[in-house]
Amino acid sequence: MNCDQFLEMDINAYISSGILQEYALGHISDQERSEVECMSKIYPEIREALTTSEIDLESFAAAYAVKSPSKSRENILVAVKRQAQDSTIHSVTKDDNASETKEILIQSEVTERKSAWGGWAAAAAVIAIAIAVWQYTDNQASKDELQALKVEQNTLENKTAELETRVAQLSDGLNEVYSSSVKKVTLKSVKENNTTQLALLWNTETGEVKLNTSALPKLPSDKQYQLWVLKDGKPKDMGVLSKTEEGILIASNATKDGDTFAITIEPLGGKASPSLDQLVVMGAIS
Amino acid sequence: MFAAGDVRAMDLLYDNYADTLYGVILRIVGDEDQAKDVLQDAFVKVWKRSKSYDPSKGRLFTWLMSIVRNQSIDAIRKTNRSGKIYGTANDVAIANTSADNIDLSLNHDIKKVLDQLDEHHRDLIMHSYILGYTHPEISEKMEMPIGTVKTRIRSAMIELRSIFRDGH
Repeated sequence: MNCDQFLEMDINAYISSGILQEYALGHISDQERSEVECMSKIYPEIREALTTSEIDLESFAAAYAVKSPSKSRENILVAVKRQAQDSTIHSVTKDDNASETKEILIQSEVTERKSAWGGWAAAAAVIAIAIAVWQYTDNQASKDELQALKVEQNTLENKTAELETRVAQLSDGLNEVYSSSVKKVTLKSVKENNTTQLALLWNTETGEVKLNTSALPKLPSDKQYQLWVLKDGKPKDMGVLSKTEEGILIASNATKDGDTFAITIEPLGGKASPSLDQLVVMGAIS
Repeated sequence: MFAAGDVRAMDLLYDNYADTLYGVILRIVGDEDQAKDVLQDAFVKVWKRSKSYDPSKGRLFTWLMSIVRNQSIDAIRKTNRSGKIYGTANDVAIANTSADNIDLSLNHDIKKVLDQLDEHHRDLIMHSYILGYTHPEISEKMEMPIGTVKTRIRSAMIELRSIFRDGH
Protein backbone atom coordinates (compact mmCIF):
# COMPACT_ATOMS: atom_id res chain seq x y z
CA MET A 1 0.00 0.00 0.00
CA ASN A 2 1.24 3.46 -0.85
CA CYS A 3 1.39 5.40 2.39
CA ASP A 4 1.77 8.83 0.76
CA GLN A 5 -1.97 9.43 0.81
CA PHE A 6 -1.79 9.49 4.62
CA LEU A 7 0.68 12.34 4.82
CA GLU A 8 -0.89 15.47 6.29
CA MET A 9 -3.56 13.56 8.19
CA ASP A 10 -4.93 15.02 11.41
CA ILE A 11 -3.08 12.62 13.69
CA ASN A 12 -4.82 13.68 16.89
CA ALA A 13 -8.20 13.01 15.34
CA TYR A 14 -6.88 9.68 14.08
CA ILE A 15 -5.59 8.66 17.51
CA SER A 16 -8.82 9.64 19.23
CA SER A 17 -10.96 7.83 16.65
CA GLY A 18 -10.33 4.56 18.50
CA ILE A 19 -9.05 2.74 15.41
CA LEU A 20 -5.71 1.96 17.06
CA GLN A 21 -7.45 0.15 19.91
CA GLU A 22 -9.51 -1.80 17.39
CA TYR A 23 -6.27 -2.74 15.65
CA ALA A 24 -4.69 -3.91 18.90
CA LEU A 25 -7.85 -5.85 19.77
CA GLY A 26 -7.68 -7.56 16.38
CA HIS A 27 -11.05 -6.31 15.07
CA ILE A 28 -10.30 -4.45 11.93
CA SER A 29 -10.84 -4.81 8.19
CA ASP A 30 -7.87 -5.48 5.91
CA GLN A 31 -8.06 -1.97 4.48
CA GLU A 32 -8.12 -0.38 7.92
CA ARG A 33 -5.23 -2.62 8.92
CA SER A 34 -3.07 -1.32 6.05
CA GLU A 35 -4.12 2.21 6.95
CA VAL A 36 -3.04 1.82 10.59
CA GLU A 37 0.25 0.24 9.53
CA CYS A 38 0.96 3.13 7.15
CA MET A 39 0.04 5.72 9.74
CA SER A 40 2.17 4.13 12.43
CA LYS A 41 5.14 4.03 10.05
CA ILE A 42 4.74 7.72 9.19
CA TYR A 43 3.87 9.17 12.60
CA PRO A 44 5.82 8.21 15.74
CA GLU A 45 2.94 9.52 17.89
CA ILE A 46 0.61 6.99 16.29
CA ARG A 47 3.15 4.23 16.67
CA GLU A 48 3.46 5.11 20.34
CA ALA A 49 -0.30 5.22 20.90
CA LEU A 50 -0.64 1.85 19.18
CA THR A 51 2.15 0.30 21.24
CA THR A 52 0.52 1.62 24.41
CA SER A 53 -2.76 -0.10 23.55
CA GLU A 54 -0.91 -3.29 22.67
CA ILE A 55 0.96 -3.27 25.97
CA ASP A 56 -2.24 -2.62 27.93
CA LEU A 57 -3.89 -5.60 26.28
CA GLU A 58 -0.80 -7.75 26.85
CA SER A 59 -1.04 -6.96 30.54
CA PHE A 60 -4.74 -7.70 30.47
CA ALA A 61 -4.09 -11.13 28.91
CA ALA A 62 -1.21 -11.80 31.30
CA ALA A 63 -3.59 -11.36 34.24
CA TYR A 64 -5.48 -14.39 32.99
CA ALA A 65 -2.44 -16.57 32.38
CA VAL A 66 -2.68 -20.22 33.38
CA LYS A 67 0.33 -22.43 34.03
CA SER A 68 0.73 -24.48 30.89
CA PRO A 69 0.90 -28.29 31.35
CA SER A 70 4.39 -29.45 32.33
CA LYS A 71 4.73 -31.75 29.31
CA SER A 72 3.70 -29.08 26.83
CA ARG A 73 7.14 -27.61 26.32
CA GLU A 74 8.64 -30.97 25.45
CA ASN A 75 5.70 -31.93 23.19
CA ILE A 76 5.90 -28.63 21.36
CA LEU A 77 9.61 -29.04 20.72
CA VAL A 78 9.02 -32.55 19.37
CA ALA A 79 6.16 -31.32 17.18
CA VAL A 80 8.22 -28.47 15.81
CA LYS A 81 11.05 -30.88 15.13
CA ARG A 82 8.71 -33.21 13.25
CA GLN A 83 7.36 -30.28 11.32
CA ALA A 84 10.87 -29.24 10.33
CA GLN A 85 11.65 -32.73 9.05
CA ASP A 86 8.33 -33.09 7.22
CA SER A 87 8.91 -29.92 5.33
CA THR A 88 12.47 -31.00 4.42
CA ILE A 89 11.30 -34.38 3.12
CA HIS A 90 8.41 -32.76 1.30
CA SER A 91 10.65 -30.39 -0.55
CA VAL A 92 13.19 -33.08 -1.43
CA THR A 93 10.58 -35.51 -2.84
CA LYS A 94 8.70 -32.98 -4.91
CA ASP A 95 10.61 -33.90 -8.09
CA ASP A 96 11.46 -37.49 -7.24
CA ASN A 97 9.61 -40.78 -7.58
CA ALA A 98 7.94 -42.79 -4.83
CA SER A 99 10.68 -45.35 -4.19
CA GLU A 100 13.14 -42.58 -3.52
CA THR A 101 10.68 -41.07 -1.07
CA LYS A 102 10.75 -44.28 0.94
CA GLU A 103 14.51 -44.26 0.97
CA ILE A 104 14.63 -40.69 2.12
CA LEU A 105 12.13 -41.42 4.86
CA ILE A 106 14.30 -44.30 6.10
CA GLN A 107 17.37 -42.12 5.90
CA SER A 108 15.50 -39.48 7.76
CA GLU A 109 14.71 -41.90 10.59
CA VAL A 110 18.34 -42.94 10.78
CA THR A 111 19.40 -39.32 10.88
CA GLU A 112 16.85 -38.70 13.60
CA ARG A 113 18.36 -41.44 15.75
CA LYS A 114 21.86 -40.23 15.06
CA SER A 115 21.14 -36.69 16.02
CA ALA A 116 18.01 -36.15 18.06
CA TRP A 117 18.80 -32.45 18.25
CA GLY A 118 19.37 -31.84 14.56
CA GLY A 119 15.69 -31.62 13.56
CA TRP A 120 14.39 -29.15 15.95
CA ALA A 121 17.64 -27.28 15.95
CA ALA A 122 16.50 -25.89 12.62
CA ALA A 123 13.12 -25.06 14.09
CA ALA A 124 14.61 -23.36 17.09
CA ALA A 125 16.95 -21.47 14.81
CA VAL A 126 14.00 -20.00 12.93
CA ILE A 127 12.33 -19.01 16.19
CA ALA A 128 15.65 -17.60 17.31
CA ILE A 129 15.58 -15.38 14.25
CA ALA A 130 12.06 -14.23 15.10
CA ILE A 131 13.13 -13.43 18.63
CA ALA A 132 16.31 -11.76 17.47
CA VAL A 133 14.25 -9.58 15.15
CA TRP A 134 11.89 -8.80 18.00
CA GLN A 135 14.75 -7.98 20.36
CA TYR A 136 16.42 -5.94 17.67
CA THR A 137 13.22 -3.95 17.21
CA ASP A 138 12.92 -3.39 20.94
CA ASN A 139 16.58 -2.41 21.00
CA GLN A 140 16.08 -0.14 17.99
CA ALA A 141 13.11 1.47 19.70
CA SER A 142 15.24 2.08 22.80
CA LYS A 143 17.97 3.60 20.64
CA ASP A 144 15.46 5.89 18.93
CA GLU A 145 14.07 6.84 22.32
CA LEU A 146 17.57 7.56 23.63
CA GLN A 147 18.34 9.68 20.58
CA ALA A 148 15.10 11.64 21.05
CA LEU A 149 15.94 12.17 24.72
CA LYS A 150 19.42 13.43 23.83
CA VAL A 151 17.96 15.91 21.38
CA GLU A 152 15.44 17.00 23.98
CA GLN A 153 18.19 17.38 26.58
CA ASN A 154 20.22 19.50 24.17
CA THR A 155 17.26 21.72 23.45
CA LEU A 156 16.59 22.12 27.16
CA GLU A 157 20.23 22.93 27.87
CA ASN A 158 20.23 25.60 25.16
CA LYS A 159 17.00 26.99 26.49
CA THR A 160 18.39 27.08 30.03
CA ALA A 161 21.53 28.91 28.85
CA GLU A 162 19.37 31.37 26.94
CA LEU A 163 17.19 31.96 30.00
CA GLU A 164 20.21 32.37 32.25
CA THR A 165 21.59 35.09 29.95
CA ARG A 166 18.21 36.75 29.86
CA VAL A 167 17.88 36.64 33.67
CA ALA A 168 21.38 38.11 34.00
CA GLN A 169 20.46 40.91 31.59
CA LEU A 170 17.24 41.62 33.42
CA SER A 171 18.97 41.60 36.76
CA ASP A 172 21.63 44.02 35.43
CA GLY A 173 18.81 46.17 34.10
CA LEU A 174 17.10 46.20 37.47
CA ASN A 175 20.33 47.06 39.27
CA GLU A 176 20.75 50.00 36.93
CA VAL A 177 17.23 51.21 37.52
CA TYR A 178 17.78 51.15 41.28
CA SER A 179 21.29 52.59 41.13
CA SER A 180 21.56 56.21 42.31
CA SER A 181 24.15 56.99 39.64
CA VAL A 182 21.79 56.00 36.78
CA LYS A 183 19.33 58.56 35.52
CA LYS A 184 16.30 57.85 33.41
CA VAL A 185 15.58 60.37 30.66
CA THR A 186 12.38 60.30 28.60
CA LEU A 187 12.77 61.55 25.03
CA LYS A 188 9.62 62.83 23.32
CA SER A 189 8.75 64.02 19.86
CA VAL A 190 9.11 67.73 19.27
CA LYS A 191 6.26 67.71 16.75
CA GLU A 192 2.64 68.05 17.72
CA ASN A 193 0.42 64.97 17.31
CA ASN A 194 3.46 62.72 17.31
CA THR A 195 3.44 60.33 20.24
CA THR A 196 6.83 58.74 19.59
CA GLN A 197 8.76 58.54 22.82
CA LEU A 198 11.52 56.46 24.30
CA ALA A 199 13.52 56.18 27.46
CA LEU A 200 17.26 56.08 27.99
CA LEU A 201 19.32 55.21 31.01
CA TRP A 202 22.38 57.34 31.62
CA ASN A 203 25.06 56.17 34.02
CA THR A 204 26.58 59.41 35.29
CA GLU A 205 29.53 57.54 36.82
CA THR A 206 30.65 55.64 33.69
CA GLY A 207 29.00 57.90 31.12
CA GLU A 208 27.34 54.88 29.47
CA VAL A 209 23.98 55.45 27.77
CA LYS A 210 21.53 52.63 27.17
CA LEU A 211 18.36 53.10 25.21
CA ASN A 212 15.46 51.24 23.72
CA THR A 213 15.10 52.08 20.03
CA SER A 214 12.15 49.80 19.31
CA ALA A 215 9.67 52.71 19.39
CA LEU A 216 11.48 54.57 16.60
CA PRO A 217 9.94 54.29 13.12
CA LYS A 218 11.82 52.27 10.53
CA LEU A 219 14.09 54.33 8.29
CA PRO A 220 14.98 54.04 4.61
CA SER A 221 18.22 52.15 4.13
CA ASP A 222 20.26 55.28 3.39
CA LYS A 223 19.30 56.95 6.70
CA GLN A 224 20.27 56.33 10.30
CA TYR A 225 19.34 57.70 13.71
CA GLN A 226 22.03 59.58 15.61
CA LEU A 227 22.13 60.34 19.33
CA TRP A 228 23.36 63.64 20.70
CA VAL A 229 23.97 65.06 24.12
CA LEU A 230 23.66 68.85 24.59
CA LYS A 231 25.38 70.95 27.20
CA ASP A 232 24.24 74.57 27.28
CA GLY A 233 22.96 74.22 23.72
CA LYS A 234 26.23 72.72 22.40
CA PRO A 235 25.79 69.25 20.83
CA LYS A 236 28.17 66.32 21.22
CA ASP A 237 28.00 63.22 19.02
CA MET A 238 26.99 60.07 20.95
CA GLY A 239 27.04 57.81 17.89
CA VAL A 240 24.61 56.41 15.35
CA LEU A 241 21.88 54.00 16.42
CA SER A 242 20.79 50.88 14.67
CA LYS A 243 17.34 49.53 15.29
CA THR A 244 17.74 46.11 16.88
CA GLU A 245 15.36 43.23 17.48
CA GLU A 246 15.48 43.52 21.27
CA GLY A 247 15.40 47.32 21.08
CA ILE A 248 17.98 47.85 23.83
CA LEU A 249 21.40 49.13 22.79
CA ILE A 250 24.34 50.97 24.23
CA ALA A 251 25.40 54.22 22.62
CA SER A 252 28.85 53.99 21.08
CA ASN A 253 30.10 57.09 22.87
CA ALA A 254 29.90 57.93 26.55
CA THR A 255 29.32 61.22 28.31
CA LYS A 256 29.64 62.34 31.89
CA ASP A 257 28.25 65.75 31.19
CA GLY A 258 25.11 67.19 29.63
CA ASP A 259 21.59 68.56 30.17
CA THR A 260 19.62 67.26 27.18
CA PHE A 261 19.59 64.15 24.95
CA ALA A 262 18.32 64.30 21.37
CA ILE A 263 17.96 61.99 18.37
CA THR A 264 18.07 63.15 14.76
CA ILE A 265 17.75 61.41 11.41
CA GLU A 266 21.04 61.59 9.48
CA PRO A 267 22.57 60.07 6.37
CA LEU A 268 24.09 56.59 6.84
CA GLY A 269 27.14 56.81 9.13
CA GLY A 270 25.99 60.01 10.83
CA LYS A 271 27.27 63.56 10.81
CA ALA A 272 29.61 65.66 12.91
CA SER A 273 26.86 68.11 13.85
CA PRO A 274 23.12 67.49 14.02
CA SER A 275 20.64 68.47 11.29
CA LEU A 276 18.24 70.37 13.52
CA ASP A 277 15.37 70.12 11.04
CA GLN A 278 15.68 66.33 11.37
CA LEU A 279 15.13 66.28 15.13
CA VAL A 280 12.97 63.28 16.09
CA VAL A 281 12.89 63.21 19.89
CA MET A 282 14.52 65.04 22.73
CA GLY A 283 14.42 65.11 26.52
CA ALA A 284 15.97 67.20 29.24
CA ILE A 285 17.93 65.58 32.05
CA SER A 286 16.17 66.39 35.32
CA MET B 1 25.77 -27.88 15.01
CA PHE B 2 23.32 -26.94 17.70
CA ALA B 3 24.17 -23.67 19.34
CA ALA B 4 23.28 -23.05 22.97
CA GLY B 5 21.76 -19.70 22.01
CA ASP B 6 19.00 -21.41 20.02
CA VAL B 7 17.83 -23.33 23.08
CA ARG B 8 17.71 -20.12 25.04
CA ALA B 9 15.72 -18.42 22.27
CA MET B 10 13.16 -21.21 22.18
CA ASP B 11 12.93 -21.19 25.96
CA LEU B 12 12.48 -17.45 25.93
CA LEU B 13 9.49 -17.59 23.62
CA TYR B 14 7.91 -20.40 25.62
CA ASP B 15 8.73 -18.95 29.03
CA ASN B 16 7.47 -15.50 28.15
CA TYR B 17 4.26 -16.35 26.44
CA ALA B 18 3.15 -19.97 26.91
CA ASP B 19 1.22 -19.39 30.15
CA THR B 20 -0.55 -16.28 28.92
CA LEU B 21 -1.43 -17.92 25.62
CA TYR B 22 -2.54 -21.09 27.39
CA GLY B 23 -4.83 -18.95 29.56
CA VAL B 24 -6.37 -17.49 26.40
CA ILE B 25 -6.79 -20.89 24.74
CA LEU B 26 -8.32 -22.43 27.86
CA ARG B 27 -10.86 -19.65 28.06
CA ILE B 28 -11.89 -20.16 24.45
CA VAL B 29 -11.96 -23.96 24.22
CA GLY B 30 -12.83 -24.67 27.86
CA ASP B 31 -11.21 -28.09 27.95
CA GLU B 32 -7.71 -28.76 29.26
CA ASP B 33 -6.89 -31.62 26.88
CA GLN B 34 -8.04 -29.70 23.85
CA ALA B 35 -6.30 -26.56 25.09
CA LYS B 36 -3.03 -28.49 25.34
CA ASP B 37 -3.38 -29.59 21.70
CA VAL B 38 -4.26 -26.11 20.55
CA LEU B 39 -1.24 -24.66 22.37
CA GLN B 40 0.97 -27.17 20.59
CA ASP B 41 -0.60 -26.53 17.18
CA ALA B 42 -0.35 -22.80 17.72
CA PHE B 43 3.36 -22.97 18.56
CA VAL B 44 3.99 -25.09 15.46
CA LYS B 45 2.13 -22.49 13.45
CA VAL B 46 4.16 -19.70 15.07
CA TRP B 47 7.31 -21.53 14.07
CA LYS B 48 6.06 -22.07 10.51
CA ARG B 49 5.05 -18.44 10.09
CA SER B 50 7.91 -16.86 12.02
CA LYS B 51 9.26 -15.30 8.83
CA SER B 52 5.98 -13.49 8.22
CA TYR B 53 6.20 -11.59 11.51
CA ASP B 54 7.00 -7.97 10.74
CA PRO B 55 8.09 -6.08 13.87
CA SER B 56 7.41 -2.75 12.18
CA LYS B 57 3.71 -3.61 12.14
CA GLY B 58 3.25 -4.29 15.80
CA ARG B 59 4.35 -6.12 18.89
CA LEU B 60 5.26 -9.78 18.88
CA PHE B 61 2.57 -10.61 21.40
CA THR B 62 -0.17 -9.06 19.24
CA TRP B 63 0.95 -11.31 16.41
CA LEU B 64 1.12 -14.41 18.64
CA MET B 65 -2.28 -13.56 20.07
CA SER B 66 -3.96 -13.48 16.64
CA ILE B 67 -2.51 -16.89 15.76
CA VAL B 68 -3.57 -18.40 19.08
CA ARG B 69 -7.08 -16.94 18.96
CA ASN B 70 -7.69 -18.18 15.43
CA GLN B 71 -6.26 -21.60 16.25
CA SER B 72 -8.55 -21.87 19.29
CA ILE B 73 -11.66 -20.79 17.41
CA ASP B 74 -10.85 -23.21 14.57
CA ALA B 75 -10.51 -25.97 17.15
CA ILE B 76 -13.96 -25.45 18.62
CA ARG B 77 -15.39 -25.21 15.13
CA LYS B 78 -13.93 -28.65 14.32
CA THR B 79 -15.30 -30.29 17.46
CA ASN B 80 -18.75 -28.96 16.72
CA ARG B 81 -19.88 -31.92 14.62
CA SER B 82 -23.61 -31.30 14.74
CA GLY B 83 -23.51 -29.99 11.18
CA LYS B 84 -25.14 -26.68 12.03
CA ILE B 85 -23.50 -23.43 10.98
CA TYR B 86 -21.07 -22.49 13.66
CA GLY B 87 -22.06 -19.53 15.80
CA THR B 88 -19.00 -18.20 17.56
CA ALA B 89 -20.84 -16.30 20.25
CA ASN B 90 -22.82 -19.17 21.74
CA ASP B 91 -20.15 -21.81 21.41
CA VAL B 92 -17.54 -19.62 23.00
CA ALA B 93 -19.94 -18.63 25.75
CA ILE B 94 -20.42 -22.28 26.70
CA ALA B 95 -16.73 -23.03 26.46
CA ASN B 96 -15.94 -19.98 28.53
CA THR B 97 -18.30 -21.07 31.32
CA SER B 98 -16.47 -24.34 31.79
CA ALA B 99 -13.13 -22.54 31.85
CA ASP B 100 -14.28 -20.52 34.83
CA ASN B 101 -13.86 -23.59 37.04
CA ILE B 102 -10.15 -23.80 36.30
CA ASP B 103 -7.78 -22.03 38.65
CA LEU B 104 -6.83 -18.89 36.76
CA SER B 105 -4.70 -17.67 39.58
CA LEU B 106 -1.36 -16.50 38.16
CA ASN B 107 -0.48 -12.82 38.15
CA HIS B 108 -2.31 -11.69 41.26
CA ASP B 109 -0.69 -8.26 41.01
CA ILE B 110 -2.09 -7.42 37.60
CA LYS B 111 -5.42 -8.94 38.58
CA LYS B 112 -5.55 -6.65 41.59
CA VAL B 113 -5.05 -3.67 39.28
CA LEU B 114 -7.68 -4.99 36.90
CA ASP B 115 -10.15 -5.24 39.78
CA GLN B 116 -10.39 -1.47 39.53
CA LEU B 117 -11.69 -1.83 35.99
CA ASP B 118 -15.44 -1.46 35.59
CA GLU B 119 -16.96 -4.95 35.41
CA HIS B 120 -18.73 -4.30 32.11
CA HIS B 121 -15.56 -2.89 30.64
CA ARG B 122 -13.59 -5.93 31.75
CA ASP B 123 -16.24 -8.16 30.24
CA LEU B 124 -16.05 -6.29 26.95
CA ILE B 125 -12.27 -6.54 26.70
CA MET B 126 -12.44 -10.20 27.70
CA HIS B 127 -14.92 -10.92 24.91
CA SER B 128 -13.36 -8.83 22.18
CA TYR B 129 -9.68 -9.45 22.94
CA ILE B 130 -9.32 -12.76 24.74
CA LEU B 131 -12.30 -14.63 23.32
CA GLY B 132 -12.11 -13.04 19.87
CA TYR B 133 -15.76 -12.02 19.60
CA THR B 134 -16.60 -9.76 16.69
CA HIS B 135 -18.66 -6.61 17.23
CA PRO B 136 -21.87 -8.20 15.88
CA GLU B 137 -21.33 -11.19 18.19
CA ILE B 138 -20.88 -8.98 21.23
CA SER B 139 -23.86 -6.90 20.13
CA GLU B 140 -25.99 -10.05 20.01
CA LYS B 141 -24.74 -11.52 23.27
CA MET B 142 -24.90 -8.36 25.32
CA GLU B 143 -28.02 -7.08 23.59
CA MET B 144 -26.72 -3.67 22.65
CA PRO B 145 -26.47 -1.88 19.29
CA ILE B 146 -23.16 -2.28 17.41
CA GLY B 147 -22.51 1.47 17.70
CA THR B 148 -22.79 1.20 21.49
CA VAL B 149 -20.47 -1.84 21.49
CA LYS B 150 -17.81 0.20 19.70
CA THR B 151 -18.13 3.22 22.00
CA ARG B 152 -18.10 1.05 25.13
CA ILE B 153 -15.02 -0.89 23.98
CA ARG B 154 -13.32 2.41 23.40
CA SER B 155 -14.22 3.65 26.90
CA ALA B 156 -13.04 0.30 28.27
CA MET B 157 -9.66 0.75 26.59
CA ILE B 158 -9.37 4.30 27.93
CA GLU B 159 -10.17 3.07 31.43
CA LEU B 160 -7.69 0.22 31.06
CA ARG B 161 -5.02 2.75 30.09
CA SER B 162 -5.80 4.99 33.03
CA ILE B 163 -5.67 2.21 35.63
CA PHE B 164 -2.35 0.94 34.30
CA ARG B 165 -0.95 4.46 34.26
CA ASP B 166 -2.23 5.49 37.69
CA GLY B 167 -2.30 2.09 39.33
CA HIS B 168 1.35 1.26 38.71
